[in-house]
Amino acid sequence: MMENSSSHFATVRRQFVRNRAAVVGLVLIVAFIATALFAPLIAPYDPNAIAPAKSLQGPSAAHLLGTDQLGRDVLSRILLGAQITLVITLAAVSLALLLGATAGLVAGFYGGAVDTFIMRCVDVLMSMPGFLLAIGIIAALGVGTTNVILAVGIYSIPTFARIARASTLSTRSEEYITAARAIGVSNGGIMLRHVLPNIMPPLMVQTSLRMATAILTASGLSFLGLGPQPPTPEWGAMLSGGRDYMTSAPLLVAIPGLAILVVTLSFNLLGDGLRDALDPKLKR
Amino acid sequence: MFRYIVRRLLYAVPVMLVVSIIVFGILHIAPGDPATMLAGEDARPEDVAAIKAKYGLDQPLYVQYGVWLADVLHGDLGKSLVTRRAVLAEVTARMPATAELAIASLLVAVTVGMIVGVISATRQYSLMDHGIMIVALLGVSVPVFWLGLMLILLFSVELHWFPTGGAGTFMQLVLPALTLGASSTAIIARMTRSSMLEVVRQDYIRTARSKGLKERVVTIRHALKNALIPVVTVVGIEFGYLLGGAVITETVFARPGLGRLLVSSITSRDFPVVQGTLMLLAGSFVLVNLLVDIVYGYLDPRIRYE
Repeated sequence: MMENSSSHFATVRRQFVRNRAAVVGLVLIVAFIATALFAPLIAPYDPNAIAPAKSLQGPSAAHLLGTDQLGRDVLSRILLGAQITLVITLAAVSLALLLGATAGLVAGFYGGAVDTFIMRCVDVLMSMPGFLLAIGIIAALGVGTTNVILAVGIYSIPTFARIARASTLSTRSEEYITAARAIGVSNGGIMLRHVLPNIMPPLMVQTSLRMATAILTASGLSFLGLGPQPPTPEWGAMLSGGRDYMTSAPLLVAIPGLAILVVTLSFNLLGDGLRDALDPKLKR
Repeated sequence: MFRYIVRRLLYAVPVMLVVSIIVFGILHIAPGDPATMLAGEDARPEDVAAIKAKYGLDQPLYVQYGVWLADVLHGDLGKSLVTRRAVLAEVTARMPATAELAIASLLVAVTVGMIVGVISATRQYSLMDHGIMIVALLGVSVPVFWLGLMLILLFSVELHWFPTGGAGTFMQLVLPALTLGASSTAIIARMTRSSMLEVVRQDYIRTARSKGLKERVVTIRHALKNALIPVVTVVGIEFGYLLGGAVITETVFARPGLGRLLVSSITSRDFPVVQGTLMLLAGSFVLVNLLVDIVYGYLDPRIRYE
């Protein structure tokens, strides 16, 4: 049994490593996380230090990516922005994964009325287009970082719930579950120790893909002025602030957008790569 | 088919009710007392009480919901707190700009996405296939607001081909439609490709080929028609995305549509307008998915007898 599962892991790893795009995605994500963690240490300037005399400068040795309309160092703000982006999206996706996967697992495991009730609640969340639901939540709770996390988190719940439920349903009738039940393992124990590990792979794939969506949604809300408020160096908000100077200083708009694009792309590459490695049948 | 349509129509009713509860709930979850909000921050207590009585805010919540829903069904969405105009008038004035944008983007996404997806599938693993799939991956990863601004920089500021914003003319629609449609185009292309690849392995395709049909006929009439079924479902989902994305696109291109109205009314805490706009946008989402279900039933007769 032990040998079997480790050889499965080896196969998955081999499949994954062979996919160059996915490896590039993984490397970029590691770089992104490292940047986010060490941003305060590597940022050359205080990201919020205003210097009107140095406003809207192009790239130079002192300011590698130039300065913004208030003379703040763009590179420092981009680096700190990585931290804010990571905190918001990781918190939102973790919230969705925790609530969604639990709901889907319980629904799929117990079936019947429990299943019907939980999945109807999920349907309620899906009755509105996702981004509009997120905007509605912000409208109710007010603008700000915490509420963006809640909005993006809540709107991602249905995806996780449906995947967890579908995987649980196909796992439920396996022999080892019947065996665990026969030797008297409790329902909670079966779900936690036997079902959960088996539904993890599709959930991991979805987590990566959902991180990509969460980054786009959160930065979109910030761009609209509904997210972290100034002077927070959030990428979407930076882009929005640079719009008025777009013709004279296009980098102010181009750079935060490129940062969002690269990180989103990396999570999409990783998610696609994981899916192909975990389920070679799907690969074409 | 008729019974199927009626059943789908009936299914849309509870969905709309749920949407209305969410939208109604927004005003009541919002921090702060709605009556104080309506009266203004520095209103006297007796004014707040008067507003409470006038709008029925002293009634239990379910009564308030009932009254609100009855009003909505009669086309009365309340009055804007900012402009004091009827919300219905405000939203209907903004609707054409949004409808135009959503439909144009959907057209771009469906036509370009399907054509490109078929090309990619019929030339699997070719340079063209790889190129298309890389562009598609970029398409789903690009932030819509950034793409919009980059297109403005290139085509409006540098080349002067298109205006930077506004609404009403065809030229003003091109850049916003391309911006908003980009991600859906990519998703539909990927979906069409994988669905086509699935279908071409089926026995009936081998049969069609072995009876000597031309490759073009096999691709279009036999493969594509069947490959379209999952693509149609995606179109419904994408329409929801387009309505949400319209909020951002309209802000980028300064289009006077529902999305911009929604954002500005959230910022000014104009709740009746927020509710009205969300109701209308969510309602059109339900309606389009109803249409998608009907098309689905037409394409795949098995669905009708489920």
